[in-house]
Amino acid sequence: MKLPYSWLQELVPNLPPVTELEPIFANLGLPLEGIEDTPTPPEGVLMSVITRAEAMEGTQLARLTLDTGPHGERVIATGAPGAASLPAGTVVALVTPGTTLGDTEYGIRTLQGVESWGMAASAKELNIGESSAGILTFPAGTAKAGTPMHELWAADQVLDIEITPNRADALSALGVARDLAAFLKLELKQPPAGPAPHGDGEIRVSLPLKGLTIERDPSKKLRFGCDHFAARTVGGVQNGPSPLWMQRRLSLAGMRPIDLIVDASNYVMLELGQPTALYDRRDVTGDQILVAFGLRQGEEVADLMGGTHTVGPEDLLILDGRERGVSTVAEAFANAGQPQPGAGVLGIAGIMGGDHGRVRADTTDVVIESAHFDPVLLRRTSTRLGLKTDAVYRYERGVDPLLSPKAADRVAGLLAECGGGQIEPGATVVGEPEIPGEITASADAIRALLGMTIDTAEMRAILGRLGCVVTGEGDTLQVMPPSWRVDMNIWQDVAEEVARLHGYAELPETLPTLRIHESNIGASAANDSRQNLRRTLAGLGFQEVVTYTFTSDDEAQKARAEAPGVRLRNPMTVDRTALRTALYPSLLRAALAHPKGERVLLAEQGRIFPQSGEAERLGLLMRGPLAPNTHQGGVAGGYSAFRGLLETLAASQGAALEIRQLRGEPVPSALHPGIAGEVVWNGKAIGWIGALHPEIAQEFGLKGETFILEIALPLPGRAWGFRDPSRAPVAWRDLAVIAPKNVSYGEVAALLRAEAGEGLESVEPFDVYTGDQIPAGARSVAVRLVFRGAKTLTDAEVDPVMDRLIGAVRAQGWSIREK
Amino acid sequence: MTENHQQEALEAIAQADTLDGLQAVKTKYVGKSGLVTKELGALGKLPPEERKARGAQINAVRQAIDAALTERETTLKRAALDARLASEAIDVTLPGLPLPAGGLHPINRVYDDLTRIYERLGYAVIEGPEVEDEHHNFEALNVPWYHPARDLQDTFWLEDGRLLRTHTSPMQIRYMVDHEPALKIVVRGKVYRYEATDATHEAMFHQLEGLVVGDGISMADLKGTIAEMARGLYGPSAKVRFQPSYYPFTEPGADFAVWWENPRGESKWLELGGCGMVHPNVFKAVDDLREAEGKPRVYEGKTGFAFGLGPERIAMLKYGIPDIRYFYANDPRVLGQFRGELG
Repeated sequence: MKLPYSWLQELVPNLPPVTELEPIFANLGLPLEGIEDTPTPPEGVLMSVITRAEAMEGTQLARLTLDTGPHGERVIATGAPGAASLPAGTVVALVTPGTTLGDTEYGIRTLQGVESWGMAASAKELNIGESSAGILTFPAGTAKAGTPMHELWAADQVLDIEITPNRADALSALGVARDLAAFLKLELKQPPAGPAPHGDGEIRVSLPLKGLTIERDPSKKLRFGCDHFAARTVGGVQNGPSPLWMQRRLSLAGMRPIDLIVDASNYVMLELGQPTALYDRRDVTGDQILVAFGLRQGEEVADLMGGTHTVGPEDLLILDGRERGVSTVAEAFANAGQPQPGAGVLGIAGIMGGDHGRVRADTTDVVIESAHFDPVLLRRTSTRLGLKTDAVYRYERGVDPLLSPKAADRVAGLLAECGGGQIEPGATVVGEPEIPGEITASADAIRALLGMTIDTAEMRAILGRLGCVVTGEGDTLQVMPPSWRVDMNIWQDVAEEVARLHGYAELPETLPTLRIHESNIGASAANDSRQNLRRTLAGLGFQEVVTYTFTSDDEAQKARAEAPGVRLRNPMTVDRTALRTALYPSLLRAALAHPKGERVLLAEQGRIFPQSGEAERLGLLMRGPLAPNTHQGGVAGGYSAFRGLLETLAASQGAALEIRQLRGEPVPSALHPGIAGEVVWNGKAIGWIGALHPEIAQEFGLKGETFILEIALPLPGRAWGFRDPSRAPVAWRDLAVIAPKNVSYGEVAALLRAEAGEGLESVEPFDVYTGDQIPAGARSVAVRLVFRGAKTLTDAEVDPVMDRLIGAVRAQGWSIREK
Repeated sequence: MTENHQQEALEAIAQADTLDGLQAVKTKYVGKSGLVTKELGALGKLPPEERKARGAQINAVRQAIDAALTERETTLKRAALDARLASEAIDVTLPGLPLPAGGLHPINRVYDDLTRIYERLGYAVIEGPEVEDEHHNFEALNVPWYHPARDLQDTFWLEDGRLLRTHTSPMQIRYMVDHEPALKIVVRGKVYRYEATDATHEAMFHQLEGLVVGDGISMADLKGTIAEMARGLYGPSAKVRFQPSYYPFTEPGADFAVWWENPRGESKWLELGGCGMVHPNVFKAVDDLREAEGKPRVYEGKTGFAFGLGPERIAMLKYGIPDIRYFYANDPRVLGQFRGELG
């Protein structure tokens, strides 16, 4: 929210200079996002009045004829959008030739044949606002032609204040001033009050019933639709430009001045925080206002900005006397689908006024609506209709429920003061506003929660300065928050206010002393193993990557990954429409960031989202050689090197690793069907390893072989126990098994291990042969079998085992290759 | 006779220029059937009165030959070793086998720095699901469906009605439902926001969330804990500043900033994250979920604090990384820089 410093200073006369405000605002929890200097315009900027505006044919430019006062009639050309349609009488800020703005000196320029005498400035060019879209305009009659702008426009600073959603009370000049005064212990000057009403008003208002529910969901109960409504009328208003002081404040706060009636409403919203709606009284048929739920299921309401909105039975509307209103949702549902003809919707409550009721050029008599609407209800309607206005922004956060009549009076006062309006003495005020209840707090509990020593007396003083009424004896604080602090509901809220005004800087620094509950012991185990794995992989030469979790159907298809099932409802870009079902496509993308032909070793631990549910995975990728050739020969990459790294990883984790050949059974779609294995870790199948399918490689533009692995985390553990190393020597035998080529080494080794039993310490292949010396279609795998027993093994002990192994090999239909 | 042998042998020894040659000389004169050895063997045939003198004579010859042999052997061995060493010399300035060197991702390095600090303080480190339901991500954290605070966290909704978690805070709920107080945890993991990407914004980023619950936990404990973290990250000069802020799941709430002597640039206060005392509605929501699972209500009446911060921001500030998008582009020239000490 933007507020000029001068406005705050008017409300807090002893406000420190702007240079000292930044830490003060930050300590209040209202941090400044920026302080913008808005210097007074230079002398050569004159308020000038448009006498004629016309488009310049064949160009994007407009030609404006201006009354410049002392310089007489002058012509300028401007490319500002909409300039050609500005009505005569509109006042602009003319930068006369010879004037310097910033670093630019303006002169007479010829634009498309028109000699342009200076320039009509935008707010940004004058450094008095952000808008550079169009030229700065003031309604007709704002200033006399030729008035130097600096006489009307003092230098100021605009504070851009960040207001968190809980601080609805600070969404106004008064709200911010109130907090500053309380914090700095300074006097707060209330803004002028409007004339208090005498007696009842002429407008009759009916409100909806309390205790409504919506969506037939009792848990979504609303407190009310509208619990406070004030209406006042002002007649004979001469609508025109608002006074320049008002326009200036609105401009500096980032709002565009329109005319007095609109500006007065906006001004009061910025001043007090209460949105109001002003209707042309001629449209308030029968002097009746109904606040009711929409009658017109599916019917469109035209708003005052020219938009239309389809309202439903859950939208709170402001209707005039022509409408037969309904006051409960049940009634509205019952009426749904029964069109109610005729105009009569004055507005969508608290969000935007209707076209009907709109203030027009000839409007003189107005009805001021100042009401308190249910924040939840308005937020729903505003979200559904996609209408975010300054009014609903305040309502959904919480407007002071008691403020309605006061704001109506203030608007009326401004219309009388600045527009010569006659205020009707009476006012209509209906409803029973709900205000925050009393909070019981213990001063000791507050001190304990904050861990800070604050006297109970100081707490009472702080709360008093914030507008709370504090009663109760001793340690007990009975706190009645002010009506504008709708965020104060529980004693912890009181604690925050105490800490905030005492100063968060005063909080000591201590450490919790806790003995954690036994249920938490070991909670870090999964993280420990992830960390260990990450570091080991880095030590093995893998670069860790972190990749996007998003994917698209297209990418999943290209990678032959499972089609994504977890899809974004509101994707931002076409390549991020769903969540990945596998890690490897992310790794393939990361591999593409490497120069062609270079060695790539990537590792990622991340989450995937397949049909079977969110899961954690480790993915590895290798491309290129393990060690490239240099002046000497390198070490080739390939499956063997990739698998070797996996074996080292397993060995470093003390895990038993086995790769099962996948043949004659479905191979993971990512893999080359002939280079694909199942990873078995400590006896459990956890994923796969192999070469990327060449067609996928081609789709991704990855030339050369790519090897990938994807396994589930956490890795299965194993039972571990210490074993005394055997001192007995080993006995070894070599055996060459001839089996069909499609029998994997893994199967041969598994058979030998199973048959040999415990005495077999290891099996290692030392020769793999295919060729002339064995039958076609067969392969010889020679292995060294190492046996070890508790004592030295004799031939008499080993030979029978070997006979058994040979028998088992032959039983498979395989044979033994004799030496 | 013998004297002649001595003369001959010593000359042969001096001339032997290989160990093999020397061995031949040794065999010829003092080997099992060497000339000198034979003469010693022949002593028995001499009359006893000659034997002693002759024996002494031959032994003297033999000792002289042995001594010469040993000396020559030493010389030849040294020469052979010198020759071998000379022949084995290589150019050690040539590069070795270019084996791969791996590294950790900078985000995980920052996470490790942070979790190391918290583990020393006795916190458990956990992770949790990235796809969440509305209840855990919002409702149970005191952000009901109608709350304007929802506007602060633009959400990626999923077609099935779930969402991508907008913060790691839902793990507060999940962890408390499964565990009893007192507890101290930090949560690491990815979070998502429906935001256009630029140099400082990403649709996916990371958070570190902390939660401490027990009896008598205070906001001063929170500030002290953040100060410990700041000193662990930035050294003894680090200071912490708290300012009031708002998170629906905390009351009171604060933003924290850290100041330290920055060797790389200007020292100033840098906003690092948000924190606060756990809102009683959060404890209530947890107890409600526990009750639904048949577990006892154990959180009402406890106090606790929570905090959250972004490792990306810390990494960007600490290492001078200008653009958040560097983290996930996985450019090897970027990632390769984050190895070893990054002092």
